[in-house]
Amino acid sequence: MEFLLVSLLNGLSYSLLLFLLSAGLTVVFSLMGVLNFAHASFYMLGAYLGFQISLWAGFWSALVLAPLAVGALGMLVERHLLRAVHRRGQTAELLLTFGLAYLIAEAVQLLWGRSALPFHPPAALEGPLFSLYGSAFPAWRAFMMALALAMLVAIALTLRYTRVGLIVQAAFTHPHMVEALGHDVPRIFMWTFGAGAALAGLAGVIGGSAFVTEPGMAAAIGPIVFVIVVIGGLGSLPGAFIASIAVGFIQTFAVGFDFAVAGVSVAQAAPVLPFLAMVLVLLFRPSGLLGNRAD
Amino acid sequence: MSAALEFRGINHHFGHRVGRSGAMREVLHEINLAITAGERHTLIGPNGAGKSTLFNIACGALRPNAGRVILNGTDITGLAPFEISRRGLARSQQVTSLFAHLSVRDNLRCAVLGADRRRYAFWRPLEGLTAVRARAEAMAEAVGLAAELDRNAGELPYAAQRALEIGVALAGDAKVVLIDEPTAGMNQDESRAMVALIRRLTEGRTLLLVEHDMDVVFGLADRVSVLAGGALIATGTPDEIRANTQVRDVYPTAEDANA
Repeated sequence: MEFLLVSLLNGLSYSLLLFLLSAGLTVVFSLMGVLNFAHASFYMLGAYLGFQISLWAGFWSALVLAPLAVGALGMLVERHLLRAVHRRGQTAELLLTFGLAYLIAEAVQLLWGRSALPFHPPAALEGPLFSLYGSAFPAWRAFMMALALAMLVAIALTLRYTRVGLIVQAAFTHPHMVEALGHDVPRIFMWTFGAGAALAGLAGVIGGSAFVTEPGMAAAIGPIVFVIVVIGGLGSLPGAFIASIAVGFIQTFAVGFDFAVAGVSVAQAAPVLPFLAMVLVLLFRPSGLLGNRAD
Repeated sequence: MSAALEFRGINHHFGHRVGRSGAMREVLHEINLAITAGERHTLIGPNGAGKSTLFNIACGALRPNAGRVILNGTDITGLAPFEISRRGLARSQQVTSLFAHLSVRDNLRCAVLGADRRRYAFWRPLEGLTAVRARAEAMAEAVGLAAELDRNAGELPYAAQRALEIGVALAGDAKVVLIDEPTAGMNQDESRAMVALIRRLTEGRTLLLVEHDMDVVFGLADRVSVLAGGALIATGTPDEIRANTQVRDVYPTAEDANA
């Protein structure tokens, strides 16, 4: 029972991290129609910048400054790269972000080398928050959950109750109409892309210190985030939330099971399960769990 | 009287080649048209004549290959759509372009905010902007939707959606208004109500209207322009257009209308 509870909390904290990532990806896709291949690279960049800033100014400064830096980079990417190819359509934008992902991966290795960095959460939070019959739940994980939840609530409130939220919601369906009404839609695109990048950067500081900061981290989590966005339905924030929880739990729990099906242990099959789910969703429910776009 | 909106030497073709000859299909050819401030001007012509292209050029969605667009004496050619909108030109679209999942109030609020000076103070709670709310609700009243403020735009009957579109286009208080086929798909009663609505709401503004229904055209317009094959073949009062033989050749329905 106590194992189950701690696993549940571990699964939930991982799920929330995944949702921080998929939320940005899906909002950018809803608004701009850009499937940002470099989204996980912003996550990686958040971890590396977080590490670097924590050396200079401590972890808490890094937690604030690294996401802001990644967000600023995201705005520059939108303003000077994506906007330039926007007229040539979604394929050009996709290819551009694809190239950008490789560029960031190479840059990170040039600057910080190929091995994993010693990036850890602050000592004060490394201890257990509580222990149940020997199963410890780290305080850092609890902080991670609280922070992710706070960000997500902030996004939801912004979208629902503020003037920019109304305009962004309107632009989800008819960006041209919104611009015809006098709203500076290109600027909204830039800020939204920057906000998505900043969220990914924040997830990077959290995830990089909780798990590992190394050059392969973008390639490891990127496909999972894409799976979540496809399963949830491209462009659906609630769908991305449900899919994040599902995928986070599948990955956390399957590893803990030690029975086998047809000679393959569930633990061994765990990494495949999200991709299997994505293929099934694409075959039988192409718009995803809560997606509303046919394209 | 001065021109509120003026097209000077507009030429436009889309960038793809048609047929083996490689000739560009010309969509607009040498359009010169001045819409006088305060007039209601209607653009008619067969499908594919270039009416929507001209609208798109006016509001900045398309950039002409040649020529200028002048709004109240200022050259607006090449400006972004939102910049043109902020200079006082509003447009309602041919296809339904409401924010279907937002309420009637929020559709109108979005339009009012677009014309508001204090843009994007994103932390400002929407409900705190009482002036914006009041203007949105006043416009809902004006288009007959005061009782539907909290309903999602997508749930409204078709005619009500078209009325809301007019409201959304005008909520920013633009002085020059472009309306594209407002009565398309409507029955006679709905169409008549729409004409009355447009006449009432465009009082004191300059209107450029694309319309197929000749009763609407001749009932509403001070002047009519005829576009055929990408060229402007006539501009004049409804009576002059009805009497124009060249217009009858390309647009036979023009003479059937009994205004």
